[in-house]
Amino acid sequence: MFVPKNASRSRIKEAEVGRRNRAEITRALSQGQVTRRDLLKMGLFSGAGALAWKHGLNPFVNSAYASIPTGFPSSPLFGVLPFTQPMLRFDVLPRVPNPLTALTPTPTEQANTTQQPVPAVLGGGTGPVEGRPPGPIWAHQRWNQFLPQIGMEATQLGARNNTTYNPQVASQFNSGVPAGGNIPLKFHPGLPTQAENTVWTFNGTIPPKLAIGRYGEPLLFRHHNGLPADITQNNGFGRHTISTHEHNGHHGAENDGFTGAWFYPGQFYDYHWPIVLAGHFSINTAATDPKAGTPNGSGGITKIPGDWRETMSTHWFHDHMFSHTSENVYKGNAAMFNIYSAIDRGNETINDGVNLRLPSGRLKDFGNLEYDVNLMLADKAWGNDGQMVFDIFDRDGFLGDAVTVNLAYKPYFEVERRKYRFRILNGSVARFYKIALSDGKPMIQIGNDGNLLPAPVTLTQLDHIGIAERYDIVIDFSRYAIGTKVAMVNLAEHNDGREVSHDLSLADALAGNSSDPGVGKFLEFRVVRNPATPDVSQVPAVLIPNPDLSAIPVVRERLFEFGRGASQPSADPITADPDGEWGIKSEGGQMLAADFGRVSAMPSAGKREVWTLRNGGGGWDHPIHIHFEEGQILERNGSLANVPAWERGRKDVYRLRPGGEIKITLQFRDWGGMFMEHCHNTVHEDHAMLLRWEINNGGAPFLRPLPTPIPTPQGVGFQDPTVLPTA
Amino acid sequence: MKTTNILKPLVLSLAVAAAVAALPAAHAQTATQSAAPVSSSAATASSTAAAPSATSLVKVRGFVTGSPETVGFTGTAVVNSQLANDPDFNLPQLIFTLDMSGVSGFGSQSHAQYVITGPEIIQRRLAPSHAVEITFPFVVSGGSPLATQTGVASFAIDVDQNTGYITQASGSVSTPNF
Ligand SMILES: [Cu+2]
Repeated sequence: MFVPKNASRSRIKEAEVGRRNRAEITRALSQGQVTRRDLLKMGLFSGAGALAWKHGLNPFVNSAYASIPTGFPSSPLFGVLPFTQPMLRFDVLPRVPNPLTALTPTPTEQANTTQQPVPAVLGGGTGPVEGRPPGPIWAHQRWNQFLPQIGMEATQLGARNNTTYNPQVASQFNSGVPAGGNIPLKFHPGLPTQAENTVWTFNGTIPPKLAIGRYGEPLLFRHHNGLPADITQNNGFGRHTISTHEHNGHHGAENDGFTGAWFYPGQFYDYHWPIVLAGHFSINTAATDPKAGTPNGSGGITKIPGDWRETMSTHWFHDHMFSHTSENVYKGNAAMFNIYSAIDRGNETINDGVNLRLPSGRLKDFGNLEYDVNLMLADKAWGNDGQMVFDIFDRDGFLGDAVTVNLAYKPYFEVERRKYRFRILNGSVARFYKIALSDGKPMIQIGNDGNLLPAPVTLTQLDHIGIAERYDIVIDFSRYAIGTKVAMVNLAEHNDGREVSHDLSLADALAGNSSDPGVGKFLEFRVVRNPATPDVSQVPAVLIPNPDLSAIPVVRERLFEFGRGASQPSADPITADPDGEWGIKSEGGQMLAADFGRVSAMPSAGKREVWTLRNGGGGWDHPIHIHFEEGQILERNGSLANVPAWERGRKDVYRLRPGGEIKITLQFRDWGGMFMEHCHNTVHEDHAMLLRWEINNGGAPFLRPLPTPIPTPQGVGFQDPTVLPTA
Repeated sequence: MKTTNILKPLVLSLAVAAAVAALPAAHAQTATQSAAPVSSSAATASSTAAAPSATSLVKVRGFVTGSPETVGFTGTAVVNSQLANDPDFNLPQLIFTLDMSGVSGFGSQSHAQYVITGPEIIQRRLAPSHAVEITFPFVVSGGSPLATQTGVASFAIDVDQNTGYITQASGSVSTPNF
C-alpha cells in the first residue's frame, strides 16, 4: 500500500487523491451510512475485485503507474529517525483479588440484564448493562466450579495520555523508562499525538496492555466499552461495537469473543477464563502428575488436573467484531496474555525438576518480566497530518509502511549481557515478517503460538511469522561486548497484502534493496551492561512434548478450502456478509462468504478429528486460525517430512503457504458452544473468510445447534441458525 | 610460519581446503538415496544440469572463518522448488526449501564435526533464475545450542517456468560479513 520513495510528485498527488476518495467510502461503511450490499450494487465491491477500482478509487489503474498494486503516499516522518526512542515494555493490567466482591456490579453466571438508559443515538430506551447474550446458553460454563479468583478490568477508549503506566519492572529493565509518568499517544515523541477517535486501545493508552494469569486461578476479565455511542465518531475507520477474543483460550464459548456476540458503548462484557489444562475432565483428574501444576505463590507447586503437555504460555486478546475486525485491531484493540504454570513459571531460579527456568527473572514466585519481554509487531500508516489511516478498499490486505514494536515506531531496547526471552506477536493486519538479527547470529525458538515446542530450534532466520502467530525466542546477548548494537531485521517483502512476494537475503535487507518500507531493521538492541547477578536461566533440550493422541480414534476427517469469489446464500442483513472477495469451501461444497448464523462443522465433544486446510490458490497465503483447541500438524503438502521442527509442537494458527495444504489433528474437550475458524489476515477475515463451528454435544449449553445471538443496544435477541448439510 | 594479516585468510583457506579434501566419503554423500540428479565437482560450487526435478541435490563446499576456529564445509544440500500457480493474478510463487543438514563442517584445529540444522524456506515470485543467499546455523555435533555460529550459503537456482522444477543449481558456503 506504499508508493515508492522516489515516486514523482504527480504520482504522489494522484495517490493522495485516491486515498481521500477511498477514505470517504471507508468512513461511510465503518459508520454504517452505506452497507457492503450497497457498495456491491454500486459496483465498488465485486466478487472478482476488478470493478472495485473504478471512479478513481485506485489511483493507479489505467494510469502510467498500473504496475503498482495500490498506493497511499508514504507516511511522513516529521524528521523522526529510526532507533531514537526507547521501546516501552507492555503495561501490565492490575490483578484484583476476589472479583466477586471487588467488582461492581458483582459478576454473575448469566449475563447481567439490569437495565440502563440507552443514548438516543443508539435508539434510546433502556438496555442491559452487560452485552453478553442473556440466559442459560450464554451463562459461564461450570461457573461455580471455577469461581473467579482474580479480576481484571479494562475499558476500550479513545486515545489519551497514560498516567498509570506499570511495566512491573524497574526502569533499568525498560531502557531507563520508569513506571508512571504521562505518556502521550504518539508512535514517536517527534510524531503528532493521535486524536482521540483515531486510536482506540485498552484504556485508551499505550504501550499495549499485558494480562498476567496462571493455571488453576480462574480469571474474570471485565471489558467495558467506552467508545463513542455515535457510530460516526471514529475518524474514518473502526466500529464502536466490539467482541473480545482470548486467542487461543481453552474456555467456554461464551468467553471466546464470538464474532456475533458484540457489545455496545456503555456496556461491559464479563469474560470468564478458568485457565485449565486441556483434558481437565478426562486426564490426570486426581491431579497427581507433578508436571501438571501451577505456582503456589511461595516457591512450590499446586497440582492441577489435566494434561501437562497441553500447558500454554503466550496468548493475546483482540477484537473479533464481525466484518470490522481489521479496522478495530489496527486501531489498537490488541493486548497480550502471559499464562504461567509450574513448567513455564517465569522464574529462572526455582529448581524443582519441573520448572524449565526459561529467561525471566527471580524476584517473584512467578511471572517475572525482567528478562521475558513481550514484543508486538504492527505496521501502521498515517496521513500528512500524522493521524493513522486505514483503507478497507485494499481487500488483499492492508499494509502499513511504518513498522512499530509495542506501538512505537522503530524503537531501541536496552539489554544486559545475558539471555532474554522474547514473546513475539505479529499484531499486523496483513503483513508477514521474516526475522533475522542484523549480524546474522542465531536465535533459539522455544515456542510457537501459545505453546512451548517439544524441543528448542536454533535458527539464524526465523520462518515467516503470520498474522496472529506468536514466536517465543531466546537471544543470548552474552556474546556481545557492552556498547554493541544489534537489530532485528525483516527479510519478507510484500508488494500487496496477499502474500510475501520476495524473501530477501540479510545483506539485501540491510542494504535497503527493497521497495517495501517494511523490510529492514525495525528494533535495535543496545547491549548496555553486565547482569547484576549471574544468568542462571536455561534453555533445556526438552521443553513440552506433544500430547499423545494416538490412542484416541479419529472419528471424522474434514476438508476446508480457502479461496476467492465466494457466494452468500443468505440475505440476512445482520449475520451474513455479502462481500465474498474471500471465502471457505467446506467438504467440497460451495465457496461461501461468512454468515455467523450458519454452522459449518459440528465436531463431537471428546472426540478427535483430522482437518485438512487447503489453500485454493498460489497467489496468496492465509494464516488460518482455529479457535479453542490446539492442533498438531500431521502433514504439509502430504508429508510429515515437510513440517519443520518449529512447527512440530501445538499450534493455533496454520500458515498454508501459497498453493499449500496442511493436515492437522484436534481433540474437542472440556467446554462447549460456538467457535470460529478463519483467516487471520483480518482483511480476508472481514471479506469474509470466516466460518462458525460448534461442539455438537457435551458442555453446558443444551440446544443443538445453538441459536444465533443478534445484539442490539436494547438487548440481545436470538434467531435460528442454518446448518450446512455436511456439518 | 609467519604470515602477514593479508595473507592469513588465504593460508587458512588452503588449510581448510586440505581438511575438506581429507573428509571421509560418508560426510560428502549423506543424501545419495534420492533419485534426483546430482553432479559432482571439485570446485567450491557445483551445479546440476540433468533432467529437471522439484528436488535437486547440490554439492556445496566452502569455509567459515572465525572464532574459535575456521570450519570447512562439504556435503550435499537438498534444494526443493515448489511452484504455486496463480491463475487469478498471474503472479505465481516459488517456494524454495533449502536443507543443509547433509552438509557437515570440519574444524580446522579441533577436527571436530559441525552440524547444520534447518531447513530454510524462501518465497519468491516465479522467475527463471534466482540468487538465494541464506544464513545458516552450525554447531559442534552434540554441542550446546548457545554455542551455535552462523555461515552463509549462496545458491544459484534456475527453474523451469512451467513446472517450477530445478534445471540447474549450484551452491557454496562462505563467511558472514554483516
Ligand atoms: Cu487469508
